[in-house]
Amino acid sequence: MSVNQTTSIIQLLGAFGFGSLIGWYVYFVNRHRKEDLKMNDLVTLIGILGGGAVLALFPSSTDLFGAYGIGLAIGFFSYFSLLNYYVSKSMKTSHNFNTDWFLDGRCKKPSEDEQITGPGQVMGKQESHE
Amino acid sequence: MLISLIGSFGIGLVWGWMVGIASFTKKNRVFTWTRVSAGFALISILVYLLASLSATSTFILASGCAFIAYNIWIYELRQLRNHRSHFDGGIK
Repeated sequence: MSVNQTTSIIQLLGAFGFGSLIGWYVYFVNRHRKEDLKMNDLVTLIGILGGGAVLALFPSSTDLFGAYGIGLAIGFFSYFSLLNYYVSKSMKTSHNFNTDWFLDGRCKKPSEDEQITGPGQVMGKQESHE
Repeated sequence: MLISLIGSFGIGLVWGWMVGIASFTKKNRVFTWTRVSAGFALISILVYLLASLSATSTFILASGCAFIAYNIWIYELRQLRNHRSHFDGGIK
C-alpha cells in the first residue's frame, strides 16, 4: 500500500467520522427542539448538510464528500434506530413508553417513589420526539 | 465516483426525512400540502446548490424515498394507535 493510498483512506475515514457526528447531532437537535420545525430551520439544515463550510472541507464531486454523506446518513439513522430499539425494549419490559411517544411524546408519569433528575428531565416536558 | 454517488444518496436520505418531519404540524400532526410544496421547493434549491456533485439524480431519488418512508412510518404509527384505541378504549 502506497503512502498516498494510506493517506486517502485516513481522510475518507475522517470525513466519514465527521459526517456521522453531524448526522447524529442533527437528529439529537431535532429531537430536543422546543418548537415546531419551521422552513427556516430547513434552510439552516441546508447549510449544515451541504453548505459552504462543508464544501470547503470536502470539495463536491470528490470521494471525501461522498464519505461525509455516507457518514451523515449512518449517524442520523443510527440515532433513529437506537430510539426505536429503546422504545421497543420499553414496550416489552418497563412499559414506560410505546410507539405513541414518536407521535406526541406521551409516556407514563413517574410513580410516587420515583423522581426525575438530570438530563432525564427533558423527557417530562413533552417535547417533540420524531 | 461510486463513493460520491452513495454519499449524495445518504445526504438525500437525511434531507428527505427532515422535510417529512417539517411537513407535519406538532400539535395534531396534520399533513399540509403547503408545507410539502415548500419542502420540495427547498429540495430544488439544495439540488441547485449540489448540482456540481454530478449525483443530482441519486440525491433526488434518496430524498423522495426518505420522504415517503417517513410518511409511511407515521401512518403506521397512527394505525397502531387506532388499533390499540379500538381494543383498549382508553388511548385518544
